[in-house]
Amino acid sequence: MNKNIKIILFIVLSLVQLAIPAQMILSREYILKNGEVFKFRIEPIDPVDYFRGNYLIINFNDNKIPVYNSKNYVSNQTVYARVENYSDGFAHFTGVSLSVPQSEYYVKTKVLYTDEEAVYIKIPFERYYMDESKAKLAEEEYNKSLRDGKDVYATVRIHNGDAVVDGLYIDGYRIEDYLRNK
Amino acid sequence: MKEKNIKWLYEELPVLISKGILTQDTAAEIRKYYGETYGETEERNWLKIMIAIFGTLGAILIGGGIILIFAKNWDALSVPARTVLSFTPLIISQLLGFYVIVKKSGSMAWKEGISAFIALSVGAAISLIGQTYNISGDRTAFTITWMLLIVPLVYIFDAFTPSLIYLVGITFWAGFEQSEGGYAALYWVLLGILAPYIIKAFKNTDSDRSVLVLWALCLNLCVSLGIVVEKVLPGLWIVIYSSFFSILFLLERTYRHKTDSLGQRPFKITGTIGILVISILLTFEGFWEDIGWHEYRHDARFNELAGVVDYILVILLLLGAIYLFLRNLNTKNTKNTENTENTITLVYGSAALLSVLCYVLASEYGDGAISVILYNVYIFVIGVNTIVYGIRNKHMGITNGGLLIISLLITVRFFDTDMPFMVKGLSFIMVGIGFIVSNVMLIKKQKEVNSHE
Repeated sequence: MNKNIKIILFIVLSLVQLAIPAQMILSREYILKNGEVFKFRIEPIDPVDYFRGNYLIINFNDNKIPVYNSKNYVSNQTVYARVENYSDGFAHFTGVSLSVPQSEYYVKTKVLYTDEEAVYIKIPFERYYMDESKAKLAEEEYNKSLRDGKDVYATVRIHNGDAVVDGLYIDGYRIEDYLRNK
Repeated sequence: MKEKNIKWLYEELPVLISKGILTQDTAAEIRKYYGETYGETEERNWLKIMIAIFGTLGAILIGGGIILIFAKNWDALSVPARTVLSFTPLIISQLLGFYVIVKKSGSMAWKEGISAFIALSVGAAISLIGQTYNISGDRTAFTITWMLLIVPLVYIFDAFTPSLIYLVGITFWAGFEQSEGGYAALYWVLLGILAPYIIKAFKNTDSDRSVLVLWALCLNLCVSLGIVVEKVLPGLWIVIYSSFFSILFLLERTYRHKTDSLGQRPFKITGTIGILVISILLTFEGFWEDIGWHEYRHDARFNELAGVVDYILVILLLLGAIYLFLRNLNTKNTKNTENTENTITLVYGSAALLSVLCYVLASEYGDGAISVILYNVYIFVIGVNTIVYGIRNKHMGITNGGLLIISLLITVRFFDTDMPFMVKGLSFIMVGIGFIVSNVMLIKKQKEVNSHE
């Protein structure tokens, strides 16, 4: 390959290599700024991903969506799950469809499995990354708060089917601040 | 190549002098003429390779270290700080890359090291953004984005390390995709991106890096073939793997007749070992149960359309194996050693044909009894032919390899058949005698050859 062509190709490649991560950042920032806020009840545990650091798996037990026609859905199918705020102030998945729902809040995700009466979906926002030294502590503190009946939840921003976890909260404090104040 | 020839010439010089063909003076003249090129280039080459290896290792360690530090995930850092941090190593590595292309394009060490560094920096950047924004574990998207962003480095830097990262990466991607219920047929397109680089390596195996590329490809395909297959039609892997190994085995024999050292023949070695392993596995009845079209999987989990990729794969591999087999069938040679060479090539090369025959039999009758018998016979024939080939070519390693194949066959049958102990015992004794007799014979022959010289 000619040296000049190589230089040009390399510059183009470098720009693309910078543009893709930049685009990831911008799309997430956009959702965090413009997305609607939903509060979800959670239940974290603490696995380790050696490549991407420590995170809490946010365990939402509320992934069951009752449907009449569960036979129309199969595992791994892409679906749209509608999200609504209930009067208790927490968000729930209220319906599922194969096409993009109109004028409601929804997330794009996949079917985990189905049974006679319901579709169980994969929650597309299940990770919350934390400092290596604090993830374990956060899990313990969370479990303790749950036993003590404290208000524990995650806030998620949703926009056009994409969701980004905004924060984890105990008693109205972000978990990082809550741990710092202990 | 030139260096190899000069090396050979240098080894010949003392022989030529002792036989009186060259005088000491002419030899000295020859050394004088080639001297500087050979002696120096070899030393310089050796240095270059060492620098390349340590340079690349260094770059990988630095890149890996950056990923680990990011993985620590300081929550003290603000989002903008993390953003800047995730781009810093990438930009530094890219600037170094630019410098290498412009100023150091002749240095293998620089090219390998920096391209590895860039490849890892891209991964680090995407990872850190992933954790800054709590992006959920979409491993498939993460892996494929990373791989597509780095594969051009292979061509721009003409570098082996990014090609290795890419091969491993796309295999992991296929694995993730299959384990999450997706379809991995795109793997072939991803591998296709590397095709020009691989073909270039196949044509130029004098370079050590080319050989490494081919080794990486062979070993990678051994793993990825199994992952990519959709498994709609059960047991198709039998034909796929047998054909794949047959092709590998026949490819080098058909298109390259040079006798390189073993390490320089990745296709032949992988093919031979692959054919042996899979054929020995197929002597077990268990692998022939519940396969074929009577067992077609209609389950919703198995996608019929994706299965089509399997069929294409089977047909292509099988046709390739048959074509190479027929080509070798036609090359008849009258020379004695060439003849045994041909026989052994055909014996090993027929693995694909046997697999498809046995697959059809097992599917049609819903029973693998005949296939199992055929494979037992096949392994036996392979063993015997290997022994004959080894003895004719006075190669002790190959002869013992053949005996090992037969012993292995007897050993595995020892456990799963009801042969009387008498028969089992006798067969072991016979193979044992075979080991001793053939080795003694070979040693004798070797001595005869030496004494004649």
